[in-house]
Amino acid sequence: MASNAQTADRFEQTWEVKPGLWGQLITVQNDPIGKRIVMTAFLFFLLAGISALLMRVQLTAPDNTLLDPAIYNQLFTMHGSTMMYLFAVPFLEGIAALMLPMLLGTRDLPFPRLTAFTFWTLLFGGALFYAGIFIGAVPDTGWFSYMPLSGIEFSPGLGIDFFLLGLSVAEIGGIAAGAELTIGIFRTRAPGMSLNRMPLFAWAILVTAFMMLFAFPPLIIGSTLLELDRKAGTQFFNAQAGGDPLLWQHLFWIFGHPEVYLQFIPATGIISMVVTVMARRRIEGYTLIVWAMIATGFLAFGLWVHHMFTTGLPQTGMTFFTVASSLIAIPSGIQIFAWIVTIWRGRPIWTTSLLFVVGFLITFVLGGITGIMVASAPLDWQVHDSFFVVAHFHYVLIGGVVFPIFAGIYYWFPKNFGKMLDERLGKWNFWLMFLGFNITFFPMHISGLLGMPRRVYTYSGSMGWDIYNLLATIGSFVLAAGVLVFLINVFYSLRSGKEAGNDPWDGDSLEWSTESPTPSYGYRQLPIITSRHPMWDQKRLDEGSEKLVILVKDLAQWPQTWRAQIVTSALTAQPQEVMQVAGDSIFPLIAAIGVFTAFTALIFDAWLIVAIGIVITIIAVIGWHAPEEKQVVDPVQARAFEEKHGIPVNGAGSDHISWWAMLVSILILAVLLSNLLFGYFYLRLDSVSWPPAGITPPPLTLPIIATMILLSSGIPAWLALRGLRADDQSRLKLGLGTSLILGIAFVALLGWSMTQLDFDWQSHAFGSLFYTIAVFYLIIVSIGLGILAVVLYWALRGHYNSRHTVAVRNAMAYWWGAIVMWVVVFATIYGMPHLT
Amino acid sequence: MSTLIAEPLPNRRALWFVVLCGPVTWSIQFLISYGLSEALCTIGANFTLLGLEGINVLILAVIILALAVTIYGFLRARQMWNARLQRNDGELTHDVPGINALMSYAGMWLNALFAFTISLSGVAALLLRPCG
Repeated sequence: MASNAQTADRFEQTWEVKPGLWGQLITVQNDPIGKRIVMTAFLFFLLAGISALLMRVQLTAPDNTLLDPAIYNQLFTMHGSTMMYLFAVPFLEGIAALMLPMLLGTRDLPFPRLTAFTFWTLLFGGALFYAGIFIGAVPDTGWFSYMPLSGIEFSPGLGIDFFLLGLSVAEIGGIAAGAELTIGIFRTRAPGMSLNRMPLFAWAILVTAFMMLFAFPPLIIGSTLLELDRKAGTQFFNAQAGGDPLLWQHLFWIFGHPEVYLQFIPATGIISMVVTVMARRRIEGYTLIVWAMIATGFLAFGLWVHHMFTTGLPQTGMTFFTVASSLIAIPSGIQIFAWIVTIWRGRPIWTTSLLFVVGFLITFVLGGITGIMVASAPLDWQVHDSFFVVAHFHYVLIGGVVFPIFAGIYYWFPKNFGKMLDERLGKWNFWLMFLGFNITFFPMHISGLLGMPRRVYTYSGSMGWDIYNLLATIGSFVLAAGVLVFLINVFYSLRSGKEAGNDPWDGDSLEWSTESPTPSYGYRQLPIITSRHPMWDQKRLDEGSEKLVILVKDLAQWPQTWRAQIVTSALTAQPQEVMQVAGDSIFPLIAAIGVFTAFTALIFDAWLIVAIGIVITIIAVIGWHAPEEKQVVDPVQARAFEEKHGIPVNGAGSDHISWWAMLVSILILAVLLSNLLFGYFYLRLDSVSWPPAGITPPPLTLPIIATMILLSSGIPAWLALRGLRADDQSRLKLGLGTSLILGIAFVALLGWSMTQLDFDWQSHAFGSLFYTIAVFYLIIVSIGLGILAVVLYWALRGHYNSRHTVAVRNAMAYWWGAIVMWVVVFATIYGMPHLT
Repeated sequence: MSTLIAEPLPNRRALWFVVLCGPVTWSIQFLISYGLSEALCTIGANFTLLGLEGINVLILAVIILALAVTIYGFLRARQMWNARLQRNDGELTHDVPGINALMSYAGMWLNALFAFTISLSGVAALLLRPCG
């Protein structure tokens, strides 16, 4: 029997980051990857800050000529885009990747390679976005890039392409993170950590991650349509050819407003964690905060039109958005009161992190009040596009997001780096930022009410805005000084800071039970949770039912040579399975390089390189999922473990996790498709005749035959699964093979029928929508065919039996999902033109 | 330290139902109501039903249905809240409330909030001209 130290060494060898540059490139560990995401996002924060300072210098005095209008336009575009796309959400994703395994009492997130992919896409996407600067192609149409300004007619350069494609690379990682975090929080918590015991930060990330699945697809679809208009001559946003520029605004804001809450909700999670520990009191209204976050997550999707109040919308429709925009203050207010009461009734320790919390409370409440004001359409009409709005959203976003981020950094830095951040410098950091922020942004309320529009590079001295602008510029440099003090504090503390120890704050949650910094494997012996505040309530973390105690003790001894993770039930966190977490791999990096290559080549219309990028990505994804020979699970040991503990050991990945992942993947595709269909119906309603005069509707005969073939392909897939469950290999192979052949026949027939149409995608939005939706669907079904082919290949090699059905079940779920989606697509793009 | 108590085993489907009933119902109602007003106003549909603006009547019908569902969700959540500690067959825990309490309590508030939100949308549909 190996000693405790030897076992710990073996765990370390299995989980550690391998030495050298290669080790850094292939690592998928949540700890280094989370830190990289955080640091990359912070670098973008600094870049955005520099652009903000330049803008403020320009506006210091009236009639200033330091910057010309073109440069000013580029600066506010780069500032807004960087803060919204490359800093806030990625930073919070990074904190989630870094902290969640520790908070949830688990060893890693379920898809560590996806986390690594998220990092690489953020890095490459951000780099691509900024790369345009070096060839003079800088976007200048704002972070929202409204049409028609961002169309090829008014923005003929490559700046918008760098903007759209660079940020798309980064958003691909964002949606991947949404899937990873949702599944990770639901299925990989420590035994006993039922949802009611989950830390509020995990609740916040859960709500956020789920929102990401619905919020990012509209942006991806909108960006794709805009890029198609620019590159392929489609007409989605061209009013003269059946399109509508307002469609872009809808798609953008369906993403854009929830985006604000994608930043705010995780920030509130940080606040709840800091308040509990620094106020030395259990959070008041835990359940209220949970439901408030859920309510906010839903209501956030009902606000998007309040950005479009001035575009002319039906009155009743507009009031729905006014109601949602006003009532979202209720859940936000509940959380504010819960934090205030906790601090009020606690014994607060005024550390820097708590100061940032108080700074957050003050500024966010002010931003919330002006938010209620602009939720009212009549007031919004008056202050729309004025500096009043600039003041409002900076109070919300800096107060509501940046201050909590700093609170979180001061709170969790000791855990992640083993050193305390200096408190004296921290207080300077806080006060400079707090005062600087208010001196900068409070006067903007007044200049906005006095009529100063936003996005103007200068103004006349006769307008009476001088003093407010001068104050704002002074304040911005005070704010920047605060950030500078923070950077000094980090470098100073890393070098000479006080040792943190395991639990410097006397914290209540699990991360404080580990060493600082946490070992690469996180927890060798998984904790057993019986309380919401385990470090305060539980004398020991290894007490529970006898069965559970034996399980976690055994898991601390076996396996040592592959990365094992426990899978628990969603509600009550009862152990259900032991799975192998994917190990180090270069393929996430290669996949990101492939995506980056394809998107970069798209900017320059280099189609051969685009194809090369796609091939690289496909090869990387195949390599990503290939079995690893080094980490083969010993079947004898696995079977012995299963018999002893009554839960399966899945060395090739988890049944439960892969099922959830498949469902989430189908959901993402369905949401993407529904956004395209939204575009279809929106433009259809805008048009007097559909299809437009001179265009005949698509013929139905061949598509109906294709539909019958596709529908019939679902039956053999279902029979294949039934056959497998009965260990009937021939039924399995026959069923899969038949479905595959029918699927190929569907694609061939539909593809051929599309070549026979008498309209193209360039003349009218009708054709643009038809071809885009059809091709998008063909991609979905082609992925399904690929899945069926791979599963059939493994079935022919005898890989599946009645105990290992998950791959076949997943393939069938995808295929049936694709069939259902086709029914909707068929009814829309083939059926509707014939009905009208 | 609090005393160890027994937490009843949860009824998964019922718990998720009470938590998600209000938000999901509101989302569906929101999409349908907004879609109706946008679509009918865009095509210039101008008709009366029951002596009222036809579009508003349709929207009100959707709202009343949604309101009924959220009220049912609220009542179901309250029923589960009341029953949360009557059984005694679960695991040991340090903390009260447990999973049943969390979900049913959250369910009550969520259903109440979204019922209120839906009602306010109904007030707008009663008072305003739909395509004004």
